[in-house]
Amino acid sequence: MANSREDAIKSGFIYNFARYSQGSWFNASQQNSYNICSFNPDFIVSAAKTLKALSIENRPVELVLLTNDNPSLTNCNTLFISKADADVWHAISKNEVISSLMLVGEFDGFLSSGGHINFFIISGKVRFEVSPSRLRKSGIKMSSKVLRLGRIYQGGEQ
Amino acid sequence: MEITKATIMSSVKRYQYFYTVLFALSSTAFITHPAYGKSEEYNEADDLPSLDFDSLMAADIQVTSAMKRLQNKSDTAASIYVLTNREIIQSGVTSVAQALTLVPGMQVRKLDNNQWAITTRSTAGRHSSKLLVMIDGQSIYNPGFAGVYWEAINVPLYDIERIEVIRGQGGLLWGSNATNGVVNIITKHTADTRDNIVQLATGTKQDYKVDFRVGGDLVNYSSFRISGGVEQTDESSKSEKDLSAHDDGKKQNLNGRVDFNINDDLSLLAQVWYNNIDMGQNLRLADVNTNLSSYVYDQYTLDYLQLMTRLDHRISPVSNQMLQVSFSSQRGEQAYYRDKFLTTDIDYQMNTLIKHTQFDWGVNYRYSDVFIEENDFFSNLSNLNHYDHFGGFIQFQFNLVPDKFKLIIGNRSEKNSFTGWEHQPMVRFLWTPESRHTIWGAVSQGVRVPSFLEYNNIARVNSSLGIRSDIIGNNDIDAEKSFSKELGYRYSEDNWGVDISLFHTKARNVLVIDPDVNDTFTYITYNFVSDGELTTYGGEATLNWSPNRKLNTEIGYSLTSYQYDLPAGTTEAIGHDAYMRQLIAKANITLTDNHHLSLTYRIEDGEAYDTKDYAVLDASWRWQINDTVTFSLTGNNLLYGKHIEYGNSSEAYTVVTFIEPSYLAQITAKF
Repeated sequence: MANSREDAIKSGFIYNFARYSQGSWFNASQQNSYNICSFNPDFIVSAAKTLKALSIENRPVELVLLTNDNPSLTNCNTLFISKADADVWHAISKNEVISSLMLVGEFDGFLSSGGHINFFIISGKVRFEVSPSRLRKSGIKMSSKVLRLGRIYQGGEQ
Repeated sequence: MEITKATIMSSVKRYQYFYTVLFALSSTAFITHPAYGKSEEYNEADDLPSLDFDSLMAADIQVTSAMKRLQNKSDTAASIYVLTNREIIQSGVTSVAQALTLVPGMQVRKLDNNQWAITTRSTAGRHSSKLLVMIDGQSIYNPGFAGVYWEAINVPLYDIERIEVIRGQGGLLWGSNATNGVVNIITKHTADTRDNIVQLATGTKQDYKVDFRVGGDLVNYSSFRISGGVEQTDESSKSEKDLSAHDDGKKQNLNGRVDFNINDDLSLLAQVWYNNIDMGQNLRLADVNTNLSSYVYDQYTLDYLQLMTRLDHRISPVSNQMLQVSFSSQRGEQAYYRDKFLTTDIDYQMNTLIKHTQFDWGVNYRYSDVFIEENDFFSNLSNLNHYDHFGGFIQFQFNLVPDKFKLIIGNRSEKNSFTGWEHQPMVRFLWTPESRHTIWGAVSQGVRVPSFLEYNNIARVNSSLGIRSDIIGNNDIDAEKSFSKELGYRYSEDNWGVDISLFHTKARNVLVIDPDVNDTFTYITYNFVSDGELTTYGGEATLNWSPNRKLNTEIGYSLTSYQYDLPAGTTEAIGHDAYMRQLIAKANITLTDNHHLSLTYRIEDGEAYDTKDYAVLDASWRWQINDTVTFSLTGNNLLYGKHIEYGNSSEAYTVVTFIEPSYLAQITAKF
């Protein structure tokens, strides 16, 4: 039962994940914006408000709403899969395109099915678990200071 | 020598701090609850204070979820200050009490190398404060005198998420004893302490200090930590009297916490704290034969155990509830005073957002078993061995003009064993004419219920006349009622801000002393009566400026006027008429990626503590040697040399020592 505040907080985390990472998943010289994509319109609205006027490597952060009919993932840098879109995730998780995105979710089984970072709620606060090895596989090197804030996922590789 | 009431009045002046020290008031203040800090309507998502990781980790996902916690500073209709973990660590302080010296407007006076007197908007006493002090929402005061043994609060500083301070009656709904303010120590969730720490320190006033933490994961995102430490403090070089200071001591603590994550909406917190202190002190007691003052060296011990469990339940995105049950056991032994307490607290609270209005309510019950040993210095008026209080609060927060104007109305009513039902109503407003400007105001009534000692005890004190003298409790005293008006303004830019608060509080039924002497002039009694009036007014102002990410600065100024209106023939029980002024200047400087410098300069001025004005500089250099190891070097009380911070030489019990410059080296390994 995510509310807009929860979505706002998660969008803040997603923004920071990108800020504190380096790698080939985002090339500022070739893109005009840093694109955060989601199938969830409520998340897009909250995130757009929260991340308004922010930038990553001098590129503005843009929120992109995907639809099931036309999940144009090629322009995405971060893909956020909300709990309500778990079914969509299972449909696209084998898509070759997502192997070069930062993949963030919020439901059980997200990491074991190929995701990079998964949000969970404890005592009314947002926390995350992360798979550094999967991030590396996707060409993303996340700051050790950020990794320390999360739980390190030790599950098997997909 | 002819002994008249006037003579006694002169004599009694000598004891006014004694009363302060021992017979602090047990305020069952009112309480305004926590949630005034939130506000926006449910769909607002852009009210996060900032997007740095620290803020995001601290943010609650619900606007209704604050149980005895502040939400957003800019959205709070009270005079507040938040000490973050980062500032606490970078400043090099070693205790919660010392950390409070970083808060503008806090009266923090060190009596010796272990003991403190702390409050705000008032005169601080060793045992009196009218200050609600909590660890994770659990009140940690001594039920006998309703004060706090600051030396027994040994929460490892690296386990603290933040310390929230409310100056004035802004926290009346949070719990009892909050008429001067609230100090809420919030420890980290165990999910954020799943590492291991070993910390070693030594210095000129600390022989050694060793602390540790072990943290880890449990199933289903649950987690735990165990932490503890042992500390041996050194003796000061000079006492206020011609005595050896005797203020060395040993402290030990062991703490554990488990956070069970039952599901996304239900969590259970269980924690235990155990503290043991064994320290020396000099006391000024009545000689049992001559009644004159005599100085005694005492080895003072205190065992302190706290247990707390809390169940948090998110009912829906706009509603949550909380049940907290806690136990507190204290056993203290001093040469003149031995006590034993067991207190049980049960709190339930519910917060709900209904359209633009937040509705909060709660009920609470407290039961205290009390045992105060009768000896040469203390006796009981009756066989009273327990007391309780129960009640509840209700609060509405109306967003009359969303994002612009909020009206908060609330009341706490409680029945206590001493004075019956007491009511603490309040009205607050928060006006945000533009996004960077906030104006707030409040009118509230606080209630302070007499402490157990004020109600039921007889305490023997020394007399310069050589006559048997006792302070006599009173079963008929009324609760003190303080009517407070507050007004505040905040302005916030990206790299600087201003925060100003003004207050005026008038209290009636204030505890004062009515001295008397028997017909044969062989027995003097200092009787507690609730016939005084007390007016306090003043304010706090802070200006912060961060020209870049490497420099954070802050200047704070506070002024408090404390004026009694005494009935004829009576004298003050706590403090005396005085002005208190304070100036604090702070700078946190990032020298390089691995080197950090923290400077705090503080000027304390005023006659409240019968000391000279003084200024101190605290400086701490911190070197992050690698990802695992940090070294720090801290100097406290620099520049001014030896000084007394609590100079009421007529105070009957504690004999203070000179506070000296000190240095501390510390190494921390985190892995």
